[in-house]
Amino acid sequence: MMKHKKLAGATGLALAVCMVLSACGGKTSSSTVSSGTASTPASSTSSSAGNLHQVIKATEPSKLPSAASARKDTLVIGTAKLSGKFQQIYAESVDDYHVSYAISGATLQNNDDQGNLIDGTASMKISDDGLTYTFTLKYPNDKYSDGSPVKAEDYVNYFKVITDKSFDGQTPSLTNYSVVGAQDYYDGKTDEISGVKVLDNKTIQVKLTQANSSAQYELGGAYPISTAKYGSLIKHGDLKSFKAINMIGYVTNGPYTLSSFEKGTSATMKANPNYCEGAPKIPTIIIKEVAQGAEMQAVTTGDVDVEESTTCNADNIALGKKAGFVNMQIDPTLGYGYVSLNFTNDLFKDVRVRQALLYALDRKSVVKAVFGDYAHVQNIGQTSQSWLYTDESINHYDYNLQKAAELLKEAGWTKDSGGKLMKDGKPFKFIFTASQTNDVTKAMFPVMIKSYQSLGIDMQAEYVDWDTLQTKLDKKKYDMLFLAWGLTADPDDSYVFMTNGSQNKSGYSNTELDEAYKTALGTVDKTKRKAAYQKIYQIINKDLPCFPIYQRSDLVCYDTRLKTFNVSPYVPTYQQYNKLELNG
Amino acid sequence: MNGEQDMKQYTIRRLLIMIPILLGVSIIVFFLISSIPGDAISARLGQSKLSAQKIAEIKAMYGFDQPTWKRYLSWLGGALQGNFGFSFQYNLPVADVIHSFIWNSFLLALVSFILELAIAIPIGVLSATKVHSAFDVVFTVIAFAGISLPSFFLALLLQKIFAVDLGWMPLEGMKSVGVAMTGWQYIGDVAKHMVLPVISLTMMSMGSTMRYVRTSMLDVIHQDYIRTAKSKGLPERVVIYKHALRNASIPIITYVGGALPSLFSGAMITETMFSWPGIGNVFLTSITQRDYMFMMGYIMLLALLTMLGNLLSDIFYSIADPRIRLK
Repeated sequence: MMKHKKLAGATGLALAVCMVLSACGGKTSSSTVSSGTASTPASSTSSSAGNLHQVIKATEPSKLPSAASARKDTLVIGTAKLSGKFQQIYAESVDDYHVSYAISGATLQNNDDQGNLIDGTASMKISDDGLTYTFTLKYPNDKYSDGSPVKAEDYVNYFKVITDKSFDGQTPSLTNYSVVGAQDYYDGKTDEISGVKVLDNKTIQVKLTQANSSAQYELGGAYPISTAKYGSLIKHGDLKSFKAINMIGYVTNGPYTLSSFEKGTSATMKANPNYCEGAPKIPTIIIKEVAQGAEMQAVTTGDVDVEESTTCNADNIALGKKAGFVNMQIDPTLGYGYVSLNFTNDLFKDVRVRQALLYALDRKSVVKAVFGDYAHVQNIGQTSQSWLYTDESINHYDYNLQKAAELLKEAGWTKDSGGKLMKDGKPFKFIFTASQTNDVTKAMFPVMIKSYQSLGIDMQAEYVDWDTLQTKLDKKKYDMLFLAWGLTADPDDSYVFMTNGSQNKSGYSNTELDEAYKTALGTVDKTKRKAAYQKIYQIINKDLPCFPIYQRSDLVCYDTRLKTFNVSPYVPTYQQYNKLELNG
Repeated sequence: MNGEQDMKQYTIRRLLIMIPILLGVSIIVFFLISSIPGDAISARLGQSKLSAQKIAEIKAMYGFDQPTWKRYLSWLGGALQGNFGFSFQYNLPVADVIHSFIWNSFLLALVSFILELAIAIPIGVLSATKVHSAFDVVFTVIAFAGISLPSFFLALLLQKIFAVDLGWMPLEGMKSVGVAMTGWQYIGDVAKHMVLPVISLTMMSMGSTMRYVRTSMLDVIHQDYIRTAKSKGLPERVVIYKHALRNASIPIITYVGGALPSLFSGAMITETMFSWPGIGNVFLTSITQRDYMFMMGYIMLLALLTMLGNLLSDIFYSIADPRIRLK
């Protein structure tokens, strides 16, 4: 069991600062919250929002183990598994981000703890029509770790790489954002992306043919790749040598450089004295692999100073408290677990049926049973900490079997003499598929089957492995599936719910929602975007293309060696190594 | 002289037979692996924001759009030239990945294997000579406890007692990070990190070996020639250790020879639990990430080692028992 969890952790994908991420079978990168006012708080009936963020301070710093206090200038951070894919542009897992994010380069834009974009190495100006992005570099004397100057054209290398046909990382190409000339570059017709221009040594301009509010996250995620050092490796149409760059000693303008990597053990990074915001205060940061399930023990024994992937449950929190020197911070995870319905199956085409199925699912009990106080029932696809979160006109679908029965009746489903729900001579029967490592479905299935049975619905459960689950999803060979989505600063999930979206694997289609997404993507005005997203969340909440189930909590642990430590789900440790400081 | 010649011929023949067998194994394994739903690209990118078309292009880049037999032939072509393909897990050639991890697994496995034999053989022999004594009963119980304990449980228990509560041993990993160490200090540090995983592996494997030795010995002890040896007044020690053990060792040798692949295969669960940078851990991930090339390389290596192990057993057989002639 343990091993599976670990793997799930390692497969949890996430993209650059601002990219949307993956879903994952297990308890990996899941869930968004619905704190809000009336949504079902796990512990009490109201004021749940306040409970979502919690800090438990260390009470006995003197109990810090000697293993930890012996490390003078070094901070050790635990992670699940390092694959060595340390070029941020190619990185695939959050684990690798612990290294890749810091050593690849400083990005044009960053994000704050509500998911708003803020200046990184450049300020960003978007024209009112949303078609022209102008980045003005803030550090004209920015230098790489080898002392050579960072040039505006170096940022263009980033765009060229992701738009190259032979690029096989997760970052979407500029063609996805209708950047002028991106398609021609992709097709090998031109050697420059005509819409990406260096106006002068501190200004980069990107032109789009069609406004796309999601583009700012992608463009802002660019970091410079030294032309002097690596330019010759960026061959148009053949990035093999570029991809194979040895990241040890990689020339970067990021806060750290990689000095060694031992597969299966750890990666060691050294502070970059030339970093634009000043040399980081901690000379050495080591990212160490820790076995899944042993994260809290790794902190309490002093093996690591920081652990961000400890399972958030009462046992671990009690262990941390008992140790005395462990600070703990609890926050809602950036992601949510949901039930996907196959819309090519006639059963789920009627919205009343979908609503009935959700009403008949006692999410609150399930979530409580699995996560105790450390998860919440989720009602929309956004986290409560986001600037876009809303609970206005959101139906919470509180458990209500009677309501479910009424809705099914309205939809034409009636019980036969044997108590089976029938319509046009066909029984209401389906199979629910879940990944075998998922703890939520293990608790949910019995609850679900019982409620559905009382309505006359015949639901059967099946467990498969993660890749099989995905294959079933891709081929639409399923009725219901359990999955999770990760969230990022970029709120765009149109590719999941829009008709024919690239990740819309359920076959769902709703023209009203499509229009709402077009509005949201078509404007860069934040007020208008917020309104558009609220509308999107409301439509989804009513029409239920999927059933959001829960958002669990993250537990971040760090020992008393750290003087400053200010993480949030949107700004994890790896985005702010340069701001960390050790005591004494 | 003649026997030596025979042995040489026999060995060469056996080695030659391995070629078609390996080929057959590779075909079966390749097609089996390919029939698992999903592939490495879908596992990596299936949930990303990339369009289906882009994902299809990337699949084509790596030949995943080709029929299985074509992919097999291209794998075989590479393998014959020593190129076992590319592991998606680490973005490195399969051989490099295997090389990076296998020796860590070997170190762990070898030490626990030696310990296992050093403990299990004497105890097994003693148990057989003192059947149903208190000694035998106690170790029988221990043996079955070791066999039946799930490895993750044992590992957790050891970690809790010796690393978390007592703080005597490191929790996990292969060496301390954040401390510069050289020479003996480094070796000592690795040794200290090995203690718990080695105990855990030894305890689990010791039981079955102990039982195996006990059973073999019991078989032999009840043979006529042992009774004869005893009745002609040979001391018990000589009877047991010279006559009985040598004969009982034949099945034990098979067992030891069969253990060769396990020295290199890595202990998936134990390595994972102790975060030991071993190959078992990597193999486990390769399954969920559909890292076909790594799976192929690893399984073929194990197939080869299994056959070599069998060959070694047969050769040792003939050394232990000159009546067995290899032809």
